Amino acid sequence: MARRGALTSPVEALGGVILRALAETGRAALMLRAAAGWLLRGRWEFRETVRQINAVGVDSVPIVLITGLFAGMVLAYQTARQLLTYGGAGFVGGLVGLSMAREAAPVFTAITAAGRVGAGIAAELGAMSVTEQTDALRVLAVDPVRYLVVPRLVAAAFAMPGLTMLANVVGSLGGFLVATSVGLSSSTYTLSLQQFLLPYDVLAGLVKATCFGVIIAAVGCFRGLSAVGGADGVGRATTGAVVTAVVLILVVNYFLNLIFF
Amino acid sequence: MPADLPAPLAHAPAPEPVVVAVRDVWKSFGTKTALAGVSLEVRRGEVQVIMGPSGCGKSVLLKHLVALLRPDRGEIWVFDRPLHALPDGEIDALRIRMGVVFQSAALFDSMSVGDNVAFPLRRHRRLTPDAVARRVAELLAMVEMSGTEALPPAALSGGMRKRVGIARALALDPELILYDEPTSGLDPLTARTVDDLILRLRRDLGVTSIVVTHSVDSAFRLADRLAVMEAGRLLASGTPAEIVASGHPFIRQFLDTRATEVKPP
Repeated sequence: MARRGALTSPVEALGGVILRALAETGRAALMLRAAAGWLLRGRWEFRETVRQINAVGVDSVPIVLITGLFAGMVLAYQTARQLLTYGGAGFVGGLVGLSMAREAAPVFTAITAAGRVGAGIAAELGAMSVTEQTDALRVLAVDPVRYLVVPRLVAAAFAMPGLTMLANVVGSLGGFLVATSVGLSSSTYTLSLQQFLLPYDVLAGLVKATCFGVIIAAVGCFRGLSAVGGADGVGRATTGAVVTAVVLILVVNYFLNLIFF
Repeated sequence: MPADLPAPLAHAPAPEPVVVAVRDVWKSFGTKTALAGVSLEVRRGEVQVIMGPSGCGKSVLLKHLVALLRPDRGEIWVFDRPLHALPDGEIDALRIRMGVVFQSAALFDSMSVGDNVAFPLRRHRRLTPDAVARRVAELLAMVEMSGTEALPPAALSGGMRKRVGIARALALDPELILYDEPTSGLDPLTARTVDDLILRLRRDLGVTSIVVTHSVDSAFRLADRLAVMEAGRLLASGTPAEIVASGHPFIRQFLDTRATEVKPP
């Protein structure tokens, strides 16, 4: 038997990490199952959901406008400079539009939202957990999953496609401004955009955004509700929520690409 | 019946029914044992105080009584229902019959004082907005916090937060109220007003109360019956007089802290 206080072997440490990760995954799955149960029974909090759509969606508009605009601008700047050299001006609009719709808008918007919305959810629910407010909900016969998790999941799933669409529009607009400023005609840009960008690309991007929204809210809620201790616990929950959500978004994005494109 | 039976027995009042029964409850967190075979009975209308030093397991015991924690072993009966064996879905029906006042008051930060008190009413009673507002005003008056409906919890002092927490716990007319360290973190005068409020609510509403505290002063002021815990075990249980008469060295040592507190310099 291992002596208490002795150094743990790397195998033991790895085993511990894997067991903890599995236990966390299990608890997160149980939370999602409970949330799905409330959703399927149609018993979700309408007022709270509207409040969350406002917090997740409307309040994120300014930051999404900025990230979307600059993502489109940098895409146009790089592609226009390269393609103009090789006579490929007719591809710039399409390339910017397609990149925005398929990748840049959903992924950049999701990463921005993970930092703003996911961190906010984890901090709010974490503070509620460490100050016994979630226990207070339970003893008042209100399930925290129904009251706190489901509205945030629904809000993020609805708001993220909207924000992504906004990023698409301002990204293409930013691309247009940059491309025309480096010598491309406006008609070449818009014709290229119309020719290459299909509704399917935009739709697939929005479906990806919905998946990312669910990831951001689920991770934020799970980390927040699992917070223990005081301010330190809330801080760890918040950091953990952002890191986990960003990693999951990038991994899931790859697999969604395999499915959609 | 034999003719020589002592007369007073015929007139002895029937004991009040048991509202809460804890039977040989064990609970561990990892390698740490928080409760080691605790047994306790609380009868209707009593103020049962559970006293002990920090970390002795008294708050853990309280959380078992509302199923925030489940025992590893043992039984917990509340209102004659086996709380330890009930599925989650059936526990809420029992929780609605209880009120809990948390150590930190646990008011919802995102709501005003009025909305905090109205929260259980809006969730579990079919009342018009006017009726809710009237009941909230009545509850706040009961805890001497009238007119604070619009204030955010952050604007309240510790004692005021506790009072609002009590008002919220009373909203659904509970038959049993659990207080977790109701005077912890309060100055002695405010602590005394909270104690007086607990006694007044018992007197006016006849509600059964279980109070967890580490304050010897509060314990003796409130208790009809007193239980003393140490390291997850119940050392003694009885009336305050019985506890004072107890010869247990830990209890004597714990009670002596009160004498030390008031000793002149």
